[in-house]
Amino acid sequence: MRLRTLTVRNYRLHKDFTLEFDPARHLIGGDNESGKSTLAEAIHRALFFRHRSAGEIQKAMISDRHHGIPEVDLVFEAEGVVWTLEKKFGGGSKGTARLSSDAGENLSGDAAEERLAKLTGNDEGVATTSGPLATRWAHLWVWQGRAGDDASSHAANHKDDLVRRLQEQGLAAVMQSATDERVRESVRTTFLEMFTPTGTVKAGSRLCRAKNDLTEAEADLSQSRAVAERLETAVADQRDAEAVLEQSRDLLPPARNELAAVQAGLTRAKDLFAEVNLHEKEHTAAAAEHARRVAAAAAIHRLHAEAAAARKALAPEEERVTLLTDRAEAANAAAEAAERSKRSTEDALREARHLRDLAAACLSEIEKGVELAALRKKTEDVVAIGRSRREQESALSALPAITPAVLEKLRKSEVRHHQTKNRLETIAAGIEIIEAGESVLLDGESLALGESRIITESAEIIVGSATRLRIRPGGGTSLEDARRELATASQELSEMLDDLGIPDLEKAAEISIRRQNISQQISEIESRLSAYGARELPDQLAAAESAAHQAKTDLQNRRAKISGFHPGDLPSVLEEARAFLKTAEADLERRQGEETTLSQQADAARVAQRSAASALVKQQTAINQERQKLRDLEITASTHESTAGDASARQQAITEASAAQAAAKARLDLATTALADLRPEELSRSEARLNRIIEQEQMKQGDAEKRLAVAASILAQDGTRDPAADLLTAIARREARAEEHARENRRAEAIKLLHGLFEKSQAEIGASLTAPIAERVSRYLKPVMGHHVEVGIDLSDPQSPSLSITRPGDPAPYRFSQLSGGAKEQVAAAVRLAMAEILASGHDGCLPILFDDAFANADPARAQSLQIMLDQAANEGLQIIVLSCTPAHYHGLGAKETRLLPSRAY
Amino acid sequence: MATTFLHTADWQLGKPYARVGDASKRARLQNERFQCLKRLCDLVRSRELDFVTLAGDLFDSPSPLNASVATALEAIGSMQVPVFVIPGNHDHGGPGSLWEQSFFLKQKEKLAPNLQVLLSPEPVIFEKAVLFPAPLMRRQDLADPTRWIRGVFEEGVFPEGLPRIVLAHGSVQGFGAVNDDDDEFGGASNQIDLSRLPEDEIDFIALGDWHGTKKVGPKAWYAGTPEIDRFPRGDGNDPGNVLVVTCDRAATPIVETIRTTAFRWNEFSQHFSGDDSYELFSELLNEKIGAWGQDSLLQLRLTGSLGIEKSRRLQEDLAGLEARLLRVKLYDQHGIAPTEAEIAALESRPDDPLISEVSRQLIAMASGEEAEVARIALLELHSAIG
Repeated sequence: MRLRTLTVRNYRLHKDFTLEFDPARHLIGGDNESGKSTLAEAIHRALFFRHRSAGEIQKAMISDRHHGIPEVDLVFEAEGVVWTLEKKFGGGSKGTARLSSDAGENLSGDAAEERLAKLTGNDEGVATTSGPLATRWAHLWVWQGRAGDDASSHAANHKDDLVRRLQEQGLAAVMQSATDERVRESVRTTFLEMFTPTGTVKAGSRLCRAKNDLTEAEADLSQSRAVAERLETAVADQRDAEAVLEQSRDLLPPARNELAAVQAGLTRAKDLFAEVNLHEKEHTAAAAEHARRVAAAAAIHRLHAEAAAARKALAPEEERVTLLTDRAEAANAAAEAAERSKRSTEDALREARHLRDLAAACLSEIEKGVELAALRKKTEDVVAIGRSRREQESALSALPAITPAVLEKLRKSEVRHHQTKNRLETIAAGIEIIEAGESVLLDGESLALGESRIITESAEIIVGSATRLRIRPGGGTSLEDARRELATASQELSEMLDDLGIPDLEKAAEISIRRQNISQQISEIESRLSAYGARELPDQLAAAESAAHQAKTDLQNRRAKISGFHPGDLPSVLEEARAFLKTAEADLERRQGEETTLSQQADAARVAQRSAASALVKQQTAINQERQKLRDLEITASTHESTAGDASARQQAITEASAAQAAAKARLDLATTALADLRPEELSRSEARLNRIIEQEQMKQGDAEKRLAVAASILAQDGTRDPAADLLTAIARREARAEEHARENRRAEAIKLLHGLFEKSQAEIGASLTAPIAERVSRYLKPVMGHHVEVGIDLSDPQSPSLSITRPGDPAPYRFSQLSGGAKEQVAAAVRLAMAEILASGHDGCLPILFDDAFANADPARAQSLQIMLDQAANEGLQIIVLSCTPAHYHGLGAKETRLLPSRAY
Repeated sequence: MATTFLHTADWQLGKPYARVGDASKRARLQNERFQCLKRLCDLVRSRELDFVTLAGDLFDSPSPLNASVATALEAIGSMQVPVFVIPGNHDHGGPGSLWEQSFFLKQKEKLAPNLQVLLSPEPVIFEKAVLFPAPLMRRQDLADPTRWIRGVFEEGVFPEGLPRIVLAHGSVQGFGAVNDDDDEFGGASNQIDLSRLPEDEIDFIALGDWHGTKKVGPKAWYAGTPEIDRFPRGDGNDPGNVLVVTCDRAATPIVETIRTTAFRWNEFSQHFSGDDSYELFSELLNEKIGAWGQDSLLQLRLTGSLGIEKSRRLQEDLAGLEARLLRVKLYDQHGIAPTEAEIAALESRPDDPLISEVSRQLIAMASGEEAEVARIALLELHSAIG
């Protein structure tokens, strides 16, 4: 189908406008509101909107500028002939439709509409309302702003037609039928009743219930088995316990009899054992008695021998005691004599020592007196020197206190006075009248000729009557300062002299020299005083006086100790005293020598005395011990003899004891042999063994009885349940459940298999439909998206067809919704062109496809690539109609162009 | 002195029929075992029999319910002649056994004073005969329970004119109870060596354990169970009877078989050689069921193969059959083999390419490793297409 001519009359802004289409490419350009979209709409209304329909759609066609019913005439090629369609949209009975062909077919009204629907491939028939109208040729008519829609939905909507066309071309194999879909859906429903979409068994499904039932039956069976096994175990237990009891019944009586016999043997052995013990004790006692008697006889004999030996050994020791006693007495006498001699010497020594002390005291008293006299003389000298110093000090104090420092200060003051005075004089001006014609007055005082005056301050000189001069010596203030300093210096000097009470500096110098001389003398006196030790002298004097007094007292004391000694016998001078002392000391020394000798003699005598006494005591102690031993031996022997009797009696007793011991031994041997014959250890072991056997059997019996009781309680049936029947029922139930589960499982597997096959087969069939479209879309997109672009279309779910694009290097295919606005327009256009290409085979190989300002998001580069696509489609036989407000962007298409002007009424 | 008595065995009262899924049908089967006792009672009375021997397995379990015990005792009591019972492998004696339980002892005293449970291997002499019981005191005894009888005649002296009857429960030379689908414990084999019993000293050997009526020696008979409780086991197996025995000392016993069973346990086998054989099978089965009546049980063995549609129909028919009969025990080994028409109908669907493709793959798989699942899937697909 190809559009040839369009004429619109009274259609919105168009009064009467005719457009002749290019058979392949037509570009309609014009600004907004120039009526481009109106033309696109007019063609669509002519083809698909019923001529007699009223309502909003029809009203919207009516022009507000031009009077008359909206009319659209369309000339097009279809089914190999040229058709002329004339439609007047009168909004009811005024609407007409005529369709005629150059082959002579002439139709009008609804017949024309029906024929038209057939020619356009519009299976749903002519539309009367906006909803259905919008779906007609939606894949070919790209309205403004809809170019970015996913065109694959159109593919889904036109699937049947596409399949038909593809089948005609041998491109697509088959497509599922309604029966296919129904059966597939039925299988899918059954599958989803059994499984979740991921293929796991659904909770609550028959298979799941069957599995739960099986699990329950298995638990039930396991419980029934447990009950049955418990009963069987109880039966076995009871049988076993009964066997044990029977065995015990056989074993116990003989064991008990044997035990009784063994115990009787043991009782006899016990008695014999006691007997043996008794005989053993008797024998031991008899042996001991015999031994005791033999020993007693031997002891008496030994004691007598020992006493005789002791007495013999004692005699020489007694003699030695006598000798030592004599020696001790002689030593005592020698010691006493030595002591006496020593004491007499000690008295003479004491007297000599007193005399020597008196001589020393006498010498000391004289020496202290001499020292005291010397110190007293020294004190008098010091007093005289002190007096002389006081005189000198009073002479010094009478003089003004002109020290060398004061004198220096005075001299400096005088120098400053002279310096100040000289400076004043240097500043002052001297005036002298050398020659005068007129009178010269200085500060009112006249100056005589040749008179010289010194001016030290500002002065006025009047010469005659007409001349007055002002003289300022030193230029002003410095003269005044000099004068002030001179006055200060003069005052300071005179004040200092006044303070000292001297007339001038010369007097001051003189006084200063005199002061220095006196000071010198004082210094010398002090040196002398120091040499005398004047400071320590009073202390020395006091000490000497005390010492003299002490010596005197000591002398008096010592003299009192010596009776018969008169004071006049003592020397009075130093030399004599010294000789007296020397004599006394020599006497003392002699006496001391005598005393030492005698003392040593007395000490030696005492040592000899102690030694003799000690030897005597030692000997006496030793001999006393020996004497005691002898006495003890004699007493012991006597005691023994009193007990054991005399020698014959002792021998008799020994013989009797020996006979008693032999009798006891014979009785013991008899009892021991009898006991050994009984073999008591073996009896004890047998008793233990038999007791053990009996105890074990009794324990077994007790245990068996308990087990019997337990088994009986388990086996006691109340008759309300039959465990055996329960078990059979549980087994049967489990088997039935297992079978049911297996059956359900097989069915579930079958449904799963069926579902899987349906889905897989459907996907394969879907792919065979979409492959030709995808191949064509890829072909359109290759020039713009690269040679390796691959397009996939999935129409398996008509509700949500999906399109994907894969380019080399992309990590995953892009879905349509992920594309940018421009890319969406591009891809959607490719899909439309691909579909149109396939569908065109039902329309003589051509279908018009119209883009109304479709590529709003296309930049110039993209627009350029779109033109390549459109051109390619035109080459494939499609009629491309592009409406654009920017026709310049489509120059590359090489299309016939019609330009609409907005202000013009067509 | 000749005596005529009823020889029976394997009543197995209280048998649970656990594999019968429907509770009411199960109850009917259980109840029929008790109903059968009335028929036996009538026989004892009408034939004025001297006594009854029950050679083991009076009860199905060593611990039957009180209700079973009481009903059984009541029925025995109503026979009014001495009833001699030995325990079998199902209701063996021993510790905790039914025979020691106070409830049984009291009820026996009250309801069936004519019942004598022979628990000791020793002769029982009464006015009509001398009995030599071989009671089982445990489920399985490796020793021959009749061994004590071998030398008893050399030691003991028995009344001259009284017939001597051995009462035993177990297998003889390959004959004996075998496992069935309701008998977990039946496999216990208690071997009885008849050849070692002194034949001339004994006049009749009343055996129990084998559920069919069977003569296994000149004087040895299995009475079989009086009410059939399992599907037939091969030819010559004749359950559902009791024996009326007339015997005398040193005389050949006269044995009469009396039919007592109510329910019919039938079996039917079918090999499907194609869809055509199904209709024949269906008709034949219906005929047979008509003949058997509703109170019948069926063991059905199916082999061969059917097409998808017929397999579906078979499933439906089996469901109907199961509802009608007391029990259908099915051994279904038939395979699903789609017919050529079915294969064509599934694979050649030009308008339904998806179904065609899936069918093609399933049919291919139906002869491979996943055959069973694939066949079920084919059935499901067939069903979904409708």
